[in-house]
Amino acid sequence: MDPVPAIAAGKDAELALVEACRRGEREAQHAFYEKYRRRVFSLIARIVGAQDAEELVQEVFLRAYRGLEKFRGDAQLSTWMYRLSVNAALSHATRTQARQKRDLGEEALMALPAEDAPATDPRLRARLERALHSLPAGYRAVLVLHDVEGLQHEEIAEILGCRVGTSKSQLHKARAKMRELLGGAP
Amino acid sequence: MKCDVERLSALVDGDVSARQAARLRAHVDGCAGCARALADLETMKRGLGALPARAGEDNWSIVVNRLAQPAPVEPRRLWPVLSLRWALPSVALMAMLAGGGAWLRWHKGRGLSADKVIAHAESEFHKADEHYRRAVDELRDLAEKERRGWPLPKRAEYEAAQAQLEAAVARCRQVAEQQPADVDAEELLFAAYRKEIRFYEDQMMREAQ
Repeated sequence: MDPVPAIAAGKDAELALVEACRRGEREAQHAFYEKYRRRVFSLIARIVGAQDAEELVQEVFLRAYRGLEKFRGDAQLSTWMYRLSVNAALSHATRTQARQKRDLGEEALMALPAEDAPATDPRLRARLERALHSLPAGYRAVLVLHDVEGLQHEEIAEILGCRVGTSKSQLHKARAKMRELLGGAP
Repeated sequence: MKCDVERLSALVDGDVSARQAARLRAHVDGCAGCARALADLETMKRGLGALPARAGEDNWSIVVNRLAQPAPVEPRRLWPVLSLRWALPSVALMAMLAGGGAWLRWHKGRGLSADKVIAHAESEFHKADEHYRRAVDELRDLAEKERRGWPLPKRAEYEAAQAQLEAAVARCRQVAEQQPADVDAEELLFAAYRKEIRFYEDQMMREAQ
């Protein structure tokens, strides 16, 4: 199938889903929920931790259903959902950071072995998850969006409401910080 | 060429020109530290890309129930009732912060080194901190003048709350000063300033009603 009509068809289906949700059709709202809930949860859980993510996911969907009136279709629906999710996660992180102690300090991360390992190695995965958790929330958001979710800087800039250059520089700083946390920095 | 992990990160993404890439590769070939950093960054990127998606619970029934409840009422915007003298310090502060950002971007565009840009960023932080402090001081003076005519118990209640807020701001400032260039600490401090500003504005709005 030619990709252009396929994209157009996808966009039309998306707009039809949005319209049905706006009309309050429960089936459409459920389809919308099923379409995005895994992505929204995964993104939020990586920024704030799985424990707080469930509640925030509910908040994001409530905001989405109530805010669909304002969705004009200029951005992709997925970008809009990412934006709602990141905003919810970062607000939550800001609210809780003052009272929250990081689960693992740098010392604990350093104690873990730093040898090269394949990407699927469960030990590497655990070290990356812990280091991600120790990053400042802003760095974590851009790193998750780019390296975990695989988004382009243009989309990340739209989600975070910043310039493409800012998204790039934040990503590079986040990676440098991650490397420090992983004990790789000189 | 100086060792620069952030440029190596751009190289990992293929986000540098062919010429820059060649220069970076040549540097990496002769620099064990950068070779190690490049390998780390590549492993890290691969590893992050391979992290499995997290699976949450299916909470559709909860969402539906919550959706059926009336939406919480957003706090009413009361800016129109604020007098100009209250709005001015905040507006002036925003303008100064925006000017600082533009200044920094202009300098970045001129290709200054990362160290210089960081030094500029820190200097901008101190300027923003200074502007916030000035705005808060002005608002505090105005609020205190307004309170002079209040009954003593009400005044004492407000002043106790103000003292708590000021102590919280002082703690945040202490943390931000102890951790220079920590974006989270800076954001927390600015959030505390904004809370203090809102406290004084709230007092004024109550008076205006």
